[in-house]
Amino acid sequence: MKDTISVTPTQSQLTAIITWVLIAYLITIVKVTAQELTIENIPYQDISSGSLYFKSDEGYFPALTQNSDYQVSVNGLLARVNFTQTFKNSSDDFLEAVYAFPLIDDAAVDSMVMEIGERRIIGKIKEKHQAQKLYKKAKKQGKKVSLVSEQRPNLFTTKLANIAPGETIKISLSYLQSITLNDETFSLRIPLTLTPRFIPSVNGNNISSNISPKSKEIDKEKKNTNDGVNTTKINVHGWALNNARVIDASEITPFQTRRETFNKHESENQQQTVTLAINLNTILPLTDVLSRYHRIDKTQFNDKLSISLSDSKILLNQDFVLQWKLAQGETPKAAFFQQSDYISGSMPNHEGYHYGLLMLMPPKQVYAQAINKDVIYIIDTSGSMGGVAIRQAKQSLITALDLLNSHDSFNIISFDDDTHSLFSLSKLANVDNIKKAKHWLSNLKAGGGTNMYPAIEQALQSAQNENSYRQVIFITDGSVGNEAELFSLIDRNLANTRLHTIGIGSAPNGYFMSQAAKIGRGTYRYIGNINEVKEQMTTLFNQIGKPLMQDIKLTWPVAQVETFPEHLPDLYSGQPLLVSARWQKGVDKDIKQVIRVSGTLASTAWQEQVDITKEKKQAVNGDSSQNTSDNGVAQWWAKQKINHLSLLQRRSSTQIKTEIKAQITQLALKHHLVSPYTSFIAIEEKVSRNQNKTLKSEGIKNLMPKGSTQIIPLANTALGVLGYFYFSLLLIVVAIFLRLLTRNDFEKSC
Amino acid sequence: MLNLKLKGKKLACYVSAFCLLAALTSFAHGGYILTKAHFAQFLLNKAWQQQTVEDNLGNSNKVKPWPWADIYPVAKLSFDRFNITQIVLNNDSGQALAFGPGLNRINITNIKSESSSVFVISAHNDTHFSILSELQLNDSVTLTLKSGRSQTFKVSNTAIMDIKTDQLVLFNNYGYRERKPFIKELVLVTCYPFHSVNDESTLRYIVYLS
Repeated sequence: MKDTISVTPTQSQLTAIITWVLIAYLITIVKVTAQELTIENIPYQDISSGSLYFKSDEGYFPALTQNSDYQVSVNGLLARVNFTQTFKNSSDDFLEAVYAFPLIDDAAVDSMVMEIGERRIIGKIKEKHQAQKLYKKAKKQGKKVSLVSEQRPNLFTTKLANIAPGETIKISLSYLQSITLNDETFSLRIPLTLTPRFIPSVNGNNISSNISPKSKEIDKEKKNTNDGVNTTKINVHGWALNNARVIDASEITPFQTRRETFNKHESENQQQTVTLAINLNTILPLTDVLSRYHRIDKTQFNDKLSISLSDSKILLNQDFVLQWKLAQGETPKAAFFQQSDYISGSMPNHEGYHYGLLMLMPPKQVYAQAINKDVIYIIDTSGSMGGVAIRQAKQSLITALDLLNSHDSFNIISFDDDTHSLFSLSKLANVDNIKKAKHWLSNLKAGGGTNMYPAIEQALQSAQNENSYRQVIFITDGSVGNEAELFSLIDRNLANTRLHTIGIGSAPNGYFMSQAAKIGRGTYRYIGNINEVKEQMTTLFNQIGKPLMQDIKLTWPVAQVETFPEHLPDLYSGQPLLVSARWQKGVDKDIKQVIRVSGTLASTAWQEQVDITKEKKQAVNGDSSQNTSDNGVAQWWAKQKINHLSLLQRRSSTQIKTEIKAQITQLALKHHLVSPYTSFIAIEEKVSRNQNKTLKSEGIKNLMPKGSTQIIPLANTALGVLGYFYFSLLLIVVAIFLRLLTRNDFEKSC
Repeated sequence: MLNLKLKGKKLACYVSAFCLLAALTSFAHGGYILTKAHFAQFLLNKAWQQQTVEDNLGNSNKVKPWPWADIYPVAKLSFDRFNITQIVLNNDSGQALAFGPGLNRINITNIKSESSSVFVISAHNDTHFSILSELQLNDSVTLTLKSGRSQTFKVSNTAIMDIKTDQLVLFNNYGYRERKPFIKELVLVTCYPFHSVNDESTLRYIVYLS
């Protein structure tokens, strides 16, 4: 076509005019109908969900930005984390920030400070409902106010109202978390984002009729306490709506964003940045200090090893995990930390208490006969497992199948919206069956909802072989909102079975993992990378293949000791025993005796004595001596008691529930802890926003976990019909043009 | 020379005829899509009314708008200010959307019991939902379900979202005691930008109604 046009240089004026008119007409049509194209330089991916954006010379900026700073100080088996959230409002309006953030599931949050420039306002612990009311009131009055509450043990929210234009406000939280010790490896985990939780529908066909009245009561009760809790209308942000099975759905499903590297100069999520620094205080030399998923810098300073992130700004799309070992290779057999009641004298009439935290390592099994196991694997194939996670899960299962002995039997259950199982009954782990299982696995795909209930139910209730020891290995990311319901299911049906959980993906729901394993009397571990699969599965099989340390008893040298966990669990090989204790201040200033521990391991008795005074001295020699008065042992004890009470509450009747609720509230208020019934609130007395100025609400988006492909299915809704019309119009123009051209030529030649 | 010119003229003649033909086909194709979308609504409307009659008689068979159809109507959507009604189909696959707005997958499982409190409906931006570009805040839209239950919503917010980076998170809400809950939110989704020549876009125009 081009050639035909170019070989005809003789154009009559008429043709030219007609052509130009037509082209001009075409252009106007395009301009009028596609006027949106003129503003195409706005980054649409940023202005979704009602976020406010501002134009500047360099581009568009979010109105509200948030920075998270973690200062971690590790002392023995506890870590003290100072977590500062900085909110910056760069808009011309007063803003309210709504930020849902993940914390480790055993976090004991015990202090909150709001910093506005030079002013520091110390947060007060209040009963949750009352705190909500105060927040609403202050927000309405135009005072600066912030509220930190717990939605789930590993999911908290910060609400901060009346941030003035151009202002920066810091919310500093301080919390304790435990360090996991498994097979001589210590690990510290800091969750940086959330995997979106699946909220099951109430009338789902899958919920069995035997959902206990207990769990319904929990829902009812929570409903009562949570009435009117939604202070901010956040549905527009894309948050989930509440329902009866997950009454607080809207609080636990924040809007999430997924950002690929469009622009390397900017941080990945413009709204959110993170900085992190860790101090490892140990008197014993450390080896193998490594970060699992992020690059780190290390500096040795006397007894301290300082660790910071190599990149000043990192992606918040994967949990931070730091691991280390003790140099001698021999983990100390026992450790004991002590703290006395607050000396501040705030409660003069109150009798004081001593608090202690005991860590004990059972002896290593030298030789043990392998036990026959009946292993039931449950694999989560829901949509949230999409992408890397499902591959990790499959790889884990394949590795696990190869680790089975020929006397073991096994079965696999997979679930999304529905539940499927490989065999109707467990079968022997011979070559044929394992081949079948691997073939079956290769056909699994991720998609659909996360209906765990029927899958767990099936695994726990299936017929059991008398001679073997049943183990359920649950591979999931735990992205569910109905945790309580699942816990009571496991609790009721467990019998002799052990349930182990394996957290998969970049940001698994750690609370579900650890709690389900605790109730299931098993172990839990995380696999965040496909390279870890083999290592983690091998240690798991080493643990479950060996006999447990059973009947563990502790004898304390003082009377009336309140210890948690109340019933000491059986210990797997390589697992330490952690006990929190409290006893009344007696005549002696300190306990000068020993704690006796006994247990049986493979039907042989074991005894151990822990000399408390000596252990304490050892601790004093270290760096920890300076802050023994505030080593968090007391708060830790209180947190353990709250956990214990919450567990108790799940099992008890309605009247006792309210009683326990009161107990938890009282305990949390005394120890300044955030709990399901208490929140931190900080109010500035000064009114900063005029009543006639409006307040806008902004949600902070969390980044989607790395490698996750979960998307809410939205249909493709463009046909490009206009394209056809434009195309035909263009062709008509060409045809007319050619026609005119040839006619002129003809006339000329005549 | 003349011969060459004659040849060129002949070629130009053919090319122009071909162009005209191609233009007609393309135009017809575009037109066909629009006509199909438009007339399918008449048949669907008929099927909808007949279905209501059948339901009232207590018959459980599904009325198909045409014999070979693999879709059926589930709801009626009326844009009150524009006096336009559209029949909503049971799914939002490409085939269904050619004939009318479709219900999102998250609603499909509970449409029978009408137990969902959020409805997500999508349609093509150059056929049925081209009207979304004209919807303004506080415009009202009425949704009528099969049971005859109808509810009027007002536009509360509009947003543009990129499905590559963001996601719409909506879950079913279901009152604990009420069997058929009050529908709390209606979400209409179509591709963005409107009047685009592109048939694949990762941008979605979302209208929230409550």
